[in-house]
Amino acid sequence: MHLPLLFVLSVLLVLCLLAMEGRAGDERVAIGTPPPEGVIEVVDLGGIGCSLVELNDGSLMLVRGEDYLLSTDEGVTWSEPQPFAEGLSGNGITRLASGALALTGGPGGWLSEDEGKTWSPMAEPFPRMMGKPPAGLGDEMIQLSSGRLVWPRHVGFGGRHPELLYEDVSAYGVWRGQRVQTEGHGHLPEIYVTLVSYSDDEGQTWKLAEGNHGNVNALMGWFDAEGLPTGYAGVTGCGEATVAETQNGRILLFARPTVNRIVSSYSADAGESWSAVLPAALANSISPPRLRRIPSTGDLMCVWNQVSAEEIRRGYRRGRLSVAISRDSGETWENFKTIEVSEGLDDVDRVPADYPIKLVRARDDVGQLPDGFGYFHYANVCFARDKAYIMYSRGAPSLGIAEQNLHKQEQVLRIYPLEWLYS
Amino acid sequence: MAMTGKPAFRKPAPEGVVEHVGLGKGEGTAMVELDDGSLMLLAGSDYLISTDGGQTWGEPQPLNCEAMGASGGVSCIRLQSGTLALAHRGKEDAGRGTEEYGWNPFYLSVSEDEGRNWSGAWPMKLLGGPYYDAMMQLSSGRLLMPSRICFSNNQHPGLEYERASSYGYWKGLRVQISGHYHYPEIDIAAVSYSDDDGQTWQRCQGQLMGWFDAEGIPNGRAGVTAVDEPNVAECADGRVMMLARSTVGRLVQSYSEDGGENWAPILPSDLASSYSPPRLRRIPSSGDLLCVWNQVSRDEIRRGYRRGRLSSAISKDNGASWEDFKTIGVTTGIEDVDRIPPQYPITPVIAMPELGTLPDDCATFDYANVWFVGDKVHLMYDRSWIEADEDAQQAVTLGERHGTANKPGETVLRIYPLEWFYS
Repeated sequence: MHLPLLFVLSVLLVLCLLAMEGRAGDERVAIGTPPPEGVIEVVDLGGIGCSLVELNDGSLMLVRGEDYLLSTDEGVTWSEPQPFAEGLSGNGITRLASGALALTGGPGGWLSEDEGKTWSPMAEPFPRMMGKPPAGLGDEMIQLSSGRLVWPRHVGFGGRHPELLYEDVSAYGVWRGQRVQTEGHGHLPEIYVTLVSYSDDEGQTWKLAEGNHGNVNALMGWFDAEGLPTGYAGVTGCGEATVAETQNGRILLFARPTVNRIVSSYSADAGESWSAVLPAALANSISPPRLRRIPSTGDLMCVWNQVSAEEIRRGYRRGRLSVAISRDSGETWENFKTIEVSEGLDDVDRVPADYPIKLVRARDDVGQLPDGFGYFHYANVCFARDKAYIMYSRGAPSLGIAEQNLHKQEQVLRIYPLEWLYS
Repeated sequence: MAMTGKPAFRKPAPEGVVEHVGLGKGEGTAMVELDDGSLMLLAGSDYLISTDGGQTWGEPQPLNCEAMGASGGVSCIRLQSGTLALAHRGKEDAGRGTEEYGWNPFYLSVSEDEGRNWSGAWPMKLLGGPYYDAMMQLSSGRLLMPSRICFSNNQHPGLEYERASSYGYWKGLRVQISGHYHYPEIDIAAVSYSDDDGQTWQRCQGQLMGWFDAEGIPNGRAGVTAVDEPNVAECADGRVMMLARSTVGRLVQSYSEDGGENWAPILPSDLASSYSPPRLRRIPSSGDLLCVWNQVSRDEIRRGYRRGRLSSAISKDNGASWEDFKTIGVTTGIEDVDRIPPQYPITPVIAMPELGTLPDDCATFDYANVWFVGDKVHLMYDRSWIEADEDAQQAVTLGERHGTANKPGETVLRIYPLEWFYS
């Protein structure tokens, strides 16, 4: 054999082995899409379950459960984590019209009149059920321009049958020679319905959106495969909801479905009643979207797992994290961009929403997965000055299935100039 | 207000069957045999005594259960220990602020003196609330109480209850016939159990919901469907069978092989039904199962007759098949047949929005209960009809509208020889 070629091949082989060794030994796997020029990425500081707000002194406060961090340089560098007082925690932080800060999470929230130094509890917005409050995406509460607080959360139910055990019915693939579980959601009975609570006194008292006879009005999918609200295709999930006030004075609600699109509802009366839940024109898997109003423009921004039915079937339900803008209160979406994409998927900006609109899940055996198989999910977006702070979680099979081990996954904070979203 | 009279019912009590009208109040009614051979019939917050096997009944006496609140949904059985057990609501006003979203929590009280005094009031920790008189004791001594929680939204713009309901014309007057599931609605079931005669309770693994497709395969391809007003009975082979109300044109069922802790996926049964409650009982003398329910075809449901036929059937093979179909009550407008074959597709079916002209003798028969006393079967059910408020020129509905205090109807108690159901 030609000696120089053999040498080159040997070096390459060693490099590959080293690279694989490094990957296999270290759970940090190089996956996803590097940030574009001008975008700062901070890893393992904050991601899933985080939120940030600008303080009066111009610094940023990032909350991440039981502690928080501060930045005086728009998020490039951060302080050491500071613990909240015992019993205090939150994954949402919002500046209210009154000037107070609202820290939200757990059963309710807390208010601070002194930029986060001291906190007093808000009333709980939801009744507890089976001893715990309804669940949510985190950082779900918003304030309308009227001053009203609106807070969506969900109640979920799941089947646990000897014939349909989670481990048995999950989808599996092969990644670097190992059999790995890729998803379980969608493979066994599951339903979640959204409830909305609102407050006109900045959280001192709350009222649930109610129907006749004082029944709580819940939001659930009740549409058929064409998206018509007929009930003929049973009930589908509407959970991990996220809401935003739109320019036309409504509230738009986006939620995690059990079908292959984001599901959506709107309120034309400030959250007291809601339209029938319908599929949006945004392709999605059984994964939570995040909807925000961009403060400086009033447009809407959505970050979500934009994947086609076939991509879901192949095991990539959270393999693409996308962003889009709506300038018409959610009627149409544009400026589609891909923030992250897994190896194995096309790096495209837009994936058309599929028909029929129904449950789509991975095949039981999704086969061989590429080395760079990744998932990107549970995004939050916060705005400060001219920046969008996108926080999410990034994982690979070495870190476990996407719906487990969330704390093990890589936590990502990316700081995008707002104009990037519109470019 | 001038009312027309009630119709001539097509199925009078057969020869040898005693019929009482107006005893008790349908839902919330239970019956136990006392030590002295007399019968105690619970009726709301009262009870009545019969010392002649139900031929005649005494005046209502108040039930001396201090802890009992609203009377709906009670169960009362005699335990193997000889104690009487009463499952009842507590006195707290559930409102929306309780753990169970508007369901008053249930408690188990016991009587050691044949129903004169009740004590205990142990919390049952049910999921939502139970169907009335659904508590039972397995031969092992374990108590089982199935229950369900319901979520709905009958105020979506365009899908409001009144607007989405089905209407017909009766003697020229417009009348609402049905509304349930004409808007998003879901019921999720669970089973609670106690191994210490009701002092402490646990709940089964997971929750129960329909997750089958139009062919009845549990694959999630057709959304989630209701498991409402569940009943359980111990089969001759030791399993526990559940039968429940659903939206899919059939009753739905599940089995437990371990005394109610784990349940098989919910599947459609072979019993055609509307979205109306069945009553499932084990016949003590034979170990066979007896079901009494609204046996109607998909077409009859579409035509507005969802509770127009009350049927019974026997299963001698633990619910695998049913025989000895009989019609107890049937309205004018549908055929007087004993058997309606179960149909496909197994998907939600509701009445058409406009039902046209309804027969003058239109009636419904529903919410049946069954008790066994010696060789007699005590069958109690409600029957309703339409009357005209001629002053207001409107029909008084036989629909399910809440708070319709003047809904024309009556509770019927029939005492059948057991062999009638086998003949």
